[in-house]
Amino acid sequence: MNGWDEALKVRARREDCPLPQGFEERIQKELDRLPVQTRQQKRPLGRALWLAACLAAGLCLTAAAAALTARWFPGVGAVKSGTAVWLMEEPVEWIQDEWTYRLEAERQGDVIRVHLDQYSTEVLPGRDDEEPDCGYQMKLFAGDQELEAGLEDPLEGWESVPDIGTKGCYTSFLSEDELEQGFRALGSTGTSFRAAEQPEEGYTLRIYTYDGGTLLWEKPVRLATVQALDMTETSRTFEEGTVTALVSQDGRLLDLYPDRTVEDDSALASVYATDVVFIGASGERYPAQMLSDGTGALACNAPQEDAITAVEIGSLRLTKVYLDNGVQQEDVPVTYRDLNWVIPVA
Amino acid sequence: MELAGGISPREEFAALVTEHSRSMFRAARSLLNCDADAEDAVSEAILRAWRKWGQLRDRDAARAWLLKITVNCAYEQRRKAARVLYTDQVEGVAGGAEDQPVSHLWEAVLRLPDDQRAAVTLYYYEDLPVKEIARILGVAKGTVKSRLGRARQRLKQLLREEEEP
Repeated sequence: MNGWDEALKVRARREDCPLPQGFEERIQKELDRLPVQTRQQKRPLGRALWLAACLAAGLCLTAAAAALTARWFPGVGAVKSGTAVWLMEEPVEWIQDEWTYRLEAERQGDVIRVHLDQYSTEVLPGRDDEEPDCGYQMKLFAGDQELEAGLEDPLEGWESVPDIGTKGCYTSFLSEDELEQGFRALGSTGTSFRAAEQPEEGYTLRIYTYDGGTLLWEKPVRLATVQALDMTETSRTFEEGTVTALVSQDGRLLDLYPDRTVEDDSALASVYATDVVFIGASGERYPAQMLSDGTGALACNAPQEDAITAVEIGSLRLTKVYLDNGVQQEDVPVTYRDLNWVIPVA
Repeated sequence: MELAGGISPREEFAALVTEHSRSMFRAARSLLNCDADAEDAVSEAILRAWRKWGQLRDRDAARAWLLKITVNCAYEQRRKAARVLYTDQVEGVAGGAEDQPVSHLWEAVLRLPDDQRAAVTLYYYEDLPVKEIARILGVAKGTVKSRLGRARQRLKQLLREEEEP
């Protein structure tokens, strides 16, 4: 670093970017509104199927199992609303060079999502620092039929945003479990496909280099159906669209999903809830614990002796997508506060 | 859940965000053309970071992690705002004011081309190494270096400073 750079860094500390008036107070409010969070175990695919079967048989959830089931609560909710949900019973794993690869897939309705993680005990082995981070190109086949790729949301007839679902990223930000296993780098790539009927032997995934020029691996993708949890379902309509809340029979799990019906070239794409509390028979209000796996499902850790009687949603953030010259784009989110949406537990 | 030191993850997260909120805003503002959009990007970044907080174990990497999430949110915000033409952008093009010298460094940074602003902000304001900037911005190290090189020349013009001997 030369002297000019050093001088400019000193100057940067004096001549900083001004903050908007009230910025720090607004950030503090954002932090105050964050839901309580709980830790989530690694994607328990086989166990999720087992748990769903147990629930269907009327068995009770333990506190530890609640988090596992909630991982698939949104998917199970989709089953309830008439959408078929399929999962891989076990991930496909393999090792090559300095990388360990793990392939998972799920299907909701007519969309199959395939996700490939790769781990290494070294920091980006085999990567050239001068090259940008890239992922892979994936092609999924049902027999000889290649499935349409690049779907981000199951909006019928819409095109996806370029690059979505085909570009991976590499990061050194790993979970505790992964670090304990000695991993120091993680790459993630995902692609969505429009589903066709699964052949008896399952689908076949071909994974190519990012430019599509070289076939790297061919892997089987076999999906199995899951069963639905019993739950109550309640909807509320906003200007942006209709949101459905799913509450498990014991009231200890909540998930929300949007009605993605396309109207005027736009649709409600995602919903995110904050200020959620689970209300016990004792009158105690238990803050929701968001599962940290990115699904947005909310759980409650109230003691078993305090039966949950209602769930209250304080605020919702709704995001729409719209069609812009044939490409799906995301709109600026709209937040509803002080909703007071109380869902009684049946 | 509380950590050994008696600080809950939520408190730890809040303290971290509070400590770095200015950096997050600065990074977002370097990519976006108005304060309101930058603040929206920071808000979204806080939510996303909180969702993934349990996955971050190397707390030494937390600032870069927050900045990467913020930059990603700002990129998304920029795509959303692309269809809106701000009146101050029109004036900027018509008046040629961007060639006038400035005395404040941040004003000079805002006059840089879009692709150079973030690199300059992360390098001079955040004091991050080129490799880390490349990772945050999702570009090659060489790209960061060339952006910084072009930005240096432009900043010298804007700040009316002499070339180094």
